[in-house]
Amino acid sequence: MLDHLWPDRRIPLSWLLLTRQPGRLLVALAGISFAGILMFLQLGFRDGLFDASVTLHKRFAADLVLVSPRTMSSIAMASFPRRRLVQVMADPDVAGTTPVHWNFLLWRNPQTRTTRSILAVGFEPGDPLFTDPGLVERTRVLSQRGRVLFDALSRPEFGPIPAWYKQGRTIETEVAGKRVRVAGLVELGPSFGADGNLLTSSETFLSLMPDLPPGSIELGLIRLVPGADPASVAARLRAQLPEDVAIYTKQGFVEFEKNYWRSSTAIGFIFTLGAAMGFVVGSVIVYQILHSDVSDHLPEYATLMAMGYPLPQLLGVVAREGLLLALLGYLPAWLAGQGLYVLIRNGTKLPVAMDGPRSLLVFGMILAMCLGSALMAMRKLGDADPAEIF
Amino acid sequence: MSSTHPSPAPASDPDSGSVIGPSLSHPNPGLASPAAASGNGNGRGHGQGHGHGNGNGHGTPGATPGQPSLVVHDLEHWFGSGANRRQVLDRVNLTIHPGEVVLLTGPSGCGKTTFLTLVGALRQVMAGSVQLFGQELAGAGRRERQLLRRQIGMIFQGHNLLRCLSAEQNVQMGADLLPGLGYRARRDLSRQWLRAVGLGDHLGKLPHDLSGGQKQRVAIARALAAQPRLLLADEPTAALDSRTGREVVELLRRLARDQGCSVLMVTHDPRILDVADRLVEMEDGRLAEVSLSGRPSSGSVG
Repeated sequence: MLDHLWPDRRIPLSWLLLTRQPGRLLVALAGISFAGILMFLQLGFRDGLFDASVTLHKRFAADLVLVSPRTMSSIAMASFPRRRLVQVMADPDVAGTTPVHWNFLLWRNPQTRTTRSILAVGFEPGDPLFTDPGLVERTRVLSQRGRVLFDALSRPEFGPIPAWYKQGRTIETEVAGKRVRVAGLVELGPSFGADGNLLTSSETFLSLMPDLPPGSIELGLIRLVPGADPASVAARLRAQLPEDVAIYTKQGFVEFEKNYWRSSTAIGFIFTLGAAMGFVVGSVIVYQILHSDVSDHLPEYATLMAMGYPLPQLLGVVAREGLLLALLGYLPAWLAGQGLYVLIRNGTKLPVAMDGPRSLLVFGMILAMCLGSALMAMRKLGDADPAEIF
Repeated sequence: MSSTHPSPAPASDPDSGSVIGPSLSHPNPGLASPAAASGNGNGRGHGQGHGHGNGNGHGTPGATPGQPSLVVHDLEHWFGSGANRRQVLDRVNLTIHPGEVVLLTGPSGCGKTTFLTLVGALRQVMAGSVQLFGQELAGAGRRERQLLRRQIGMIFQGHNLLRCLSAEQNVQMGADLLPGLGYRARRDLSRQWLRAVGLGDHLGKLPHDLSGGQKQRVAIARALAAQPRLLLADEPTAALDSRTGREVVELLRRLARDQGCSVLMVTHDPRILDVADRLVEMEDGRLAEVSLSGRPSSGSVG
């Protein structure tokens, strides 16, 4: 059968060279997998941290976002006059707006009585804040003063709130020194800057922060009528509004936040460097393996040349060895990466997942690593002199 | 029909691109020709007919009947240059006809191995002429020499088998050089050759698990599986005990003859001199014909 499909089949020399030396193959695969795992880990952390910085941003029910031009990131939001959001309503393409208060407040763990900074988001109950369906209904309970919705995915340092709530206990604690009651749970997830989140009404928010200048907000969400182009509306509004607000499309706002972490912190550099180290270590291991493999078999390669095999065909044997190593080494790395990502998600609550682009990127890097090393090892093959073997 | 034919295996006609296999009558009378076994009918009737047609028991694989396999004329070779130049071969002449078995002896360091590498198209010819199957080697490029080498079988002092391949796969590395044959045909051919050298029970063994004599027989099968027209052997018995060495050399001679393949064998082993059709001796870079009774005859070989 195979004979008809593939009559030019030859002895799979590369495969046999690798598999008939299981010790060496195992070392090579361990090295490649290690390099791959390191790359998955570092790139996963990097992307996870960047993604984590926009856990809330991505959920905003908005096409355009107003912020203060002094706002550089979500961990330090400056305020701007609420009037600007009212002005925006005049534009025919604007369908609705949501004014949002946004600040970090001290939350007292009701179990240990210690305090910790939590991100508090205040808005009018019933206004669309996040795209999650059903959330609007649950926010109705906030219209009662002193009620908050606690993010069940917040880090455990804030106290066993979800467990207690599900047991039906009444949970009262202090936020910014004022008594609040947990009126329900939402599932948002911690972000890079915030270990936990709570939602509350604008009224409660203002009572928690009495020093806030009146009529100021930190964030304005703008929804457009269907069919409107966010970019052109943003440009139009930018021209109309004074300089005390900055306007972004939703995607632009997400990028703005990510860019802050990318450019003003060493995170990107550190983790990219980590991935590069994996690449270098893997390259060295694969080169060592292939080089010693070619050296050990030099008389055999010379014999094949004496038999009439052309050099390019023998170079192809080494190249295929590199290709096989890449394929065989990538698989365990990918599987181990999956497992590690589960560990990271459970341990850090960072949104790290095995996505297509990163899987491809790491495979590309492993392929480059193995083929590059094979290319280097091929130079050794030039030393095979068939005239020397008699 | 082939398996009971009493005569030595006929040679193929290379121009027809036919396939020849190991001996039909030895060592296993029931052995079918690999050509027949491979299902490549092309080689059978045609090759057989041709072999009978020219009435030559050895067959004439050359492009033209009667054309020598190898003609060496005034071949010189040296290593180094200037004051350090050391002459290794000095006006060497030798002609080998198809099917001839020529033994080359001489003290070590006299240039035998250099001569083999030149004739085997492994080294560039410096001065003089080497014609393989009518094709001039002097001035031939890398690619031409590589292609010519496919028609030359080589057997080395060490067996030089690929350690990671089984006996069968090693032989197939030789058979894989044959054009126009499917994988199965080449594999069957390799198995036939291993049976022909008496290793039918060791097809799947790695060289590591074979004895010295068995490894050398695998090497012979590998060399012959590529259907060479000239076989070069460098002390193939050096690593073997006398009885095994004797067996290996006789096997080599018989199989080569059956294919109409010429043999040039370097040896120090006085016990195997009688397998030769001709004996030549090299001393200080010069080649002299030796009569088979043992005394050097005068003059060089032309």
